[in-house]
Amino acid sequence: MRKSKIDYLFLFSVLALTAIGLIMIFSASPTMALKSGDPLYFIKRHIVYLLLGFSALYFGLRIDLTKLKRWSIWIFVGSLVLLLLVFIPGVGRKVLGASRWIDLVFISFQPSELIKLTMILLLANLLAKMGKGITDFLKGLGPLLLLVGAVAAIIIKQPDLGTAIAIFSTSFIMLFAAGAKLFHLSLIAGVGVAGIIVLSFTSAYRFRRLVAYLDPWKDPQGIGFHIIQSLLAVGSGGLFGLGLGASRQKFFYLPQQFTDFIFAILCEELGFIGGAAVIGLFIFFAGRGIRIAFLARDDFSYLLATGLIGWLTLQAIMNLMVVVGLLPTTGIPLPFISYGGTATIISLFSVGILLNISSQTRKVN
Amino acid sequence: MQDRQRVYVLLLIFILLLLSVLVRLINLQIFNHSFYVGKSQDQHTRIIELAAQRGDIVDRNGNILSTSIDTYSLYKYKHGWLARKLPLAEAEKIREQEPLKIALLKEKKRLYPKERVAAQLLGFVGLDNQGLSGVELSFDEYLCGKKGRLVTEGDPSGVELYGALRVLEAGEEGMNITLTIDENIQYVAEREIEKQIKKYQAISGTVIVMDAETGEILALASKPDFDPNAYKSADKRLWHPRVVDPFEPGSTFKTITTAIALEEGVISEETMLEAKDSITVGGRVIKNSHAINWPDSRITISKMLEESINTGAVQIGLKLGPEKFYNGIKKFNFGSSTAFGLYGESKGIVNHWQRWHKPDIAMITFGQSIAVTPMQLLAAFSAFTNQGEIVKPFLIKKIESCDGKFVKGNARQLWGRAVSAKVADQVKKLLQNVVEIGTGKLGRITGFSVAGKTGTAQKASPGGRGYLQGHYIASFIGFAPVKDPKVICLVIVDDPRGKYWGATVCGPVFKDVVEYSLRYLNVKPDVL
Repeated sequence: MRKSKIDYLFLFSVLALTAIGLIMIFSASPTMALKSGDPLYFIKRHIVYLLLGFSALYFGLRIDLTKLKRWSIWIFVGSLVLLLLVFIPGVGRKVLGASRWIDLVFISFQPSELIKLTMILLLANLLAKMGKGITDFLKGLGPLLLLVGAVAAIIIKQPDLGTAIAIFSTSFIMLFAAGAKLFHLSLIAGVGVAGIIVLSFTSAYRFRRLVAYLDPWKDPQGIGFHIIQSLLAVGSGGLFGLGLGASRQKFFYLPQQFTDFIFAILCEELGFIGGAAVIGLFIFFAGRGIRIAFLARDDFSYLLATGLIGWLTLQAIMNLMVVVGLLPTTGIPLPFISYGGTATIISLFSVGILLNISSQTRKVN
Repeated sequence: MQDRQRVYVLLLIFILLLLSVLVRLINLQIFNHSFYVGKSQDQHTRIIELAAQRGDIVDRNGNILSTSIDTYSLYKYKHGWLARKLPLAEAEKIREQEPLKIALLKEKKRLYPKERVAAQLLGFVGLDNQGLSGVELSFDEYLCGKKGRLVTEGDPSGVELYGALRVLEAGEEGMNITLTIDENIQYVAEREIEKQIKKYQAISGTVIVMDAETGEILALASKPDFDPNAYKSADKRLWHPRVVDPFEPGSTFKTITTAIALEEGVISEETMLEAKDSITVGGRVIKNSHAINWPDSRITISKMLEESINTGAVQIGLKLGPEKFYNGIKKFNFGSSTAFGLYGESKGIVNHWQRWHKPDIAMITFGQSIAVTPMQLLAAFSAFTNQGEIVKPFLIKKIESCDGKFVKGNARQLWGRAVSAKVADQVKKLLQNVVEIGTGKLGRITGFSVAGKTGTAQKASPGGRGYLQGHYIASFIGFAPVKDPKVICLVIVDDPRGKYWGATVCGPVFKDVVEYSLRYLNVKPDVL
């Protein structure tokens, strides 16, 4: 193990993405904000989230990873308690039919965002301790799967299939990185995919989303509306876009225009050039993140870094694929770019941990 | 862990997935760009139609009869129109209640500054300034202009986008129409007929003054009427210009019968007719409408017209026979629309002689069993003032574009020869006798020689069979000065009570209107 500088290129990609996010929220949110009277309402709040996020990033950078490892079980238990709180009436808040928020004084807090992070932390700890034991299905892989399955089940209950899938896939990535047998993993993947299919058919709203995904033009004013409005935004952007601030779709045609679907507005205003730049930045972000994992000083750091970069990249991929119509609609924001409190703070905190890991590398032959 | 290389497999998968998004972007933004642009524009493009300024209607001297002014309308999203065509102050007051939700739009409102003057003739327009009756309807295509369009962009609730791209496609203003009507003669005609309708408690009355030489209609008065500024509150039956409808002309038609007989040579000015109180034709007993004081057993043609003797006219008809009579009537263009200008003009009812009932040959000689429009009758009489040739009556002098360019117009147009110049002259003299010593005395005008004929027709039953007892259509048609006629005037009063003779009811109106017209038109008096 040796001390080295933090990965500034990785930090740069994150700064670039958050800057793009801020600019796009500046462009896309005033239409909605005007309804409350202040066109800068969401921008002001997002700036506050960014300040909190970068404080969290600094905190993540300075935190003692050894202590973090030691406390990971209790941190996980704490976040699990918070997650269960959303089901208690009076504490949890329902938005659009989903119990995902806890009202704090000035900010609504989403425990499901936090549990993604603490889950990764716990898994990194357990997998690091387990070492080669992961190849044993009954003593190693099996119990972990039960844990992941239980958490995913709670989140599906909210209901938030998108987050559950994110947790499931991130855990899968970590198991893979930890050296689980490919045969076992393909079994798990098969069960997971089957589970998603079953869940899609057992809930009316999930099924509608699936149908809309398969043929949005069948009912453009109904179930297909959201995805079609997104495609109209993206497609009408063309090569160079309509120009920053010139989106038409942001005027209440496209719902969630500055949260989950902000990338559509970005593509409309900045065109293919803007969209490709964001995809390029995420590739660069993923590449540097994977490099941090590969160079991490020990197994815990390696697994933690893999989990975090895998989670953030996977969220980005899922969000982008939804916006361009390659996946059915799920409620996943675009990391660093979408408006949001909990997600912004937690992703930047994760970046802080990744930078922390990047500052202590191992010797590579 | 020994297998850290596995993370590069992950990276490869991530990159492939992100590249799939990139490929999708190429597909959406480059290859299908125009499709999505089209769809997006379809849903946010808002087209606002801008009503064109409607053309004005003016009289022959340019006096405005119908024009448009700015008014203000209030529109509320999802509620539609709140109020339309209000004065600005009133509209702003309502809008103040919910300034964000109510839009103020400028709209043109049709205004008839002379109110009831020529109301049935001018007609009126609907709420969207579309012509609904009269000249407004008949010449809507010229008056309405071409609508403009404002193409802009709006959000789903209809609010215009901030920074919306606006494209204004200018419309075209409507054309202005100049009528042949003279506002002053029109006014006098209306005043006089209204007075008489009141006096005799009649259903309605019509006065038409036509330039005897050119066929220009100088006045077309029809009462009762309505205020076109408030047409909605009027009796709907009054909206219809009754001048386009046919009526049985009665004794004025004896003039036509006589002219045809003279033209055909079956009678001459010297022909004597038998003095008869009644005559039977086809099984029908025809009596005179009033007791005649017979000075002799025979009467002249002139006496027949002067005293309006039915039995005399019937004898002329019998001399003519159905075929000649019918062909003569057709030469006077009865049964053909004059196309003088108003929409919905009747052709009248002139049956072919082979389909006449047996008494028809007699009835038609004094203007029953035949229906004509007032315009047809005027046109027919123009033959006597134009050496036997009919001039076509017309209402539209010219149509000009909003910038004053001539588009189309009408001028004197001959419409066939009815009789020879000689016969026309003979009829003029006969008609002059009617006014000077006959039933038309009330039509005499100091300073001018006048020719004319009265008519008192029995009203046909609404069912079309037989006549209504005690209900008449009184009329008077004539022209002056006789030698070189300037105006032809027809007065019709429908169902006068008390006195019903055309002479009594319509004569004074004829006299007042023609007298005014001649003096107004600066016509030189020709007699003491």
